[in-house]
Amino acid sequence: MNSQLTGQYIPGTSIMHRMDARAKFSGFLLLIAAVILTGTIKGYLLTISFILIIAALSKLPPEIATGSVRRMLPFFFVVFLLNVLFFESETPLWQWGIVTISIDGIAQGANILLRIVLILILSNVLTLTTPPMALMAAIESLMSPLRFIGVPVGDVSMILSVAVQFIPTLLRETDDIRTAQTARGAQFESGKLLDRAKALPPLLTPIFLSAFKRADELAVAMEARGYRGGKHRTKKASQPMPVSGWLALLLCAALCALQIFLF
Amino acid sequence: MGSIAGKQITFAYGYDDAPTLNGVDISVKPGQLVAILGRNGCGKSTLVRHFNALLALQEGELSVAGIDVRDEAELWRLRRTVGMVFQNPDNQFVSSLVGEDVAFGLENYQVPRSEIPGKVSAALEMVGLAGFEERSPHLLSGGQKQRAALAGVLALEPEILVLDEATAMLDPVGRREILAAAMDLRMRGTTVIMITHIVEEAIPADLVFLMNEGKMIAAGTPEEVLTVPELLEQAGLAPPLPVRLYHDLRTAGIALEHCPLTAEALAEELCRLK
Repeated sequence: MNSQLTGQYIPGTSIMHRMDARAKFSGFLLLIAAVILTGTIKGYLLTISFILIIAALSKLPPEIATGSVRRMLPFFFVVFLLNVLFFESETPLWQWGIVTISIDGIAQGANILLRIVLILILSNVLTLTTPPMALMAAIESLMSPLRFIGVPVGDVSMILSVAVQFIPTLLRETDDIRTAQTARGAQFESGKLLDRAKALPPLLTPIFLSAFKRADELAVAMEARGYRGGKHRTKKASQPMPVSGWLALLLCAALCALQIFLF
Repeated sequence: MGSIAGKQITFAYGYDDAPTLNGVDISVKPGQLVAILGRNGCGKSTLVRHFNALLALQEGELSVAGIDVRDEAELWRLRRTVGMVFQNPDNQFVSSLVGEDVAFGLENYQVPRSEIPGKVSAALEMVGLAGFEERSPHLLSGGQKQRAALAGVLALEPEILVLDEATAMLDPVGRREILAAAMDLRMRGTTVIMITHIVEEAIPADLVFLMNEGKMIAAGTPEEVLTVPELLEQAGLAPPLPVRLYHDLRTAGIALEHCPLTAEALAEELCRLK
């Protein structure tokens, strides 16, 4: 298994690494909105340029920044094919039963694919340049107004951060169990679809059991280190957002506004 | 400061279950390196989980660093006084960065944010991981992971450190690293309790407790406990190799002056035979 897992933080000193995590996360949400709002070629050119500049500023190797995109190519192919074959159009190029091939369908397929790819690159840049705990602190900070309606924001943040940090461990364990069961004749990648489906429950049961055992041991270890809920912990330093963070947010908001009002 | 005094500790996990601990007595002086030996399921971990009240005392008396473990008002002071490192380092990390994980305990005790980086660096330096703050625990070796987990506990400056089979999942190099860290802490005055089923790990201890089926069957120095094969066999353990050789030689009519615990001591004894 790769030592570098998808979305795992890579330490660095680039502008994106140094940017305030709150600004990065809020900007990420604004950019997703901009990607979804984009509908014209001019709009796409602007959005793509903006996202490519962000990716370049992160100084991440291109193969890592686009790692999840390459891994999802089969999924993209299916999405594109479904749009091309089943998009209802008044000007079909070719029609047979419910299958309709049209320029509109091809454009729709390309449109959806491009949006997914852009959002994946954005999420890669966000998670690869932000330590998980900083990201969780940012989410906690942005959720903090919910405290006033009784939401235990600190505990929610802790649950999220523990879940994130357990992903590599559980993936490694899944790999181990899978290898052990393959050695005993289970078929996960070859054989008939039915055989592969039958091999899944024996894989999932030990994974779930192990996850519960690990959760139990972690809970004991956390208690032994004095954890008694979020409100008893050292308060997070509430530093004001730096000017660079506000500028980045302003640029993202401007891109959103341009997509709404100009394109 | 760092002492443990327990009398007639009895504990069962369920009302109808046979007791996991059955009238256990234990006495540890401050600054001692103590090994609690026994095979899996003999009650070692159950016993030490009473030291910081992870398990509630059902019967008997137990005072740790002068704190009665039944005193709920002192619970969090007790947990800070007794640090605990568990068997599987992967199940102890709460963060994806070593520095943030070491800071976890400090944040739980509301240590001022300005003091945390200094304490984190000092704890990492103590276990030989200076500068590892930005590293991911999952990319460390087994020994480094366990030392990072140890740093998370040491950052709280505990008076008593419990290593609950902390070397069981490590390779020989990782095991040596953790044992060296334990010896270093003992030199600094911390009481160190090592839970283990590996007899050789108990040799450097000041005091060895031997457990079997929830009972304390022997207590004494390594020389008093580890050189008696019958005792170790009763606990389901094998004596160290030099001890076995000593007794085999004795059966063959060759009597060494002292029963050696280590290969070095055995070599010295054999040289004396000349």
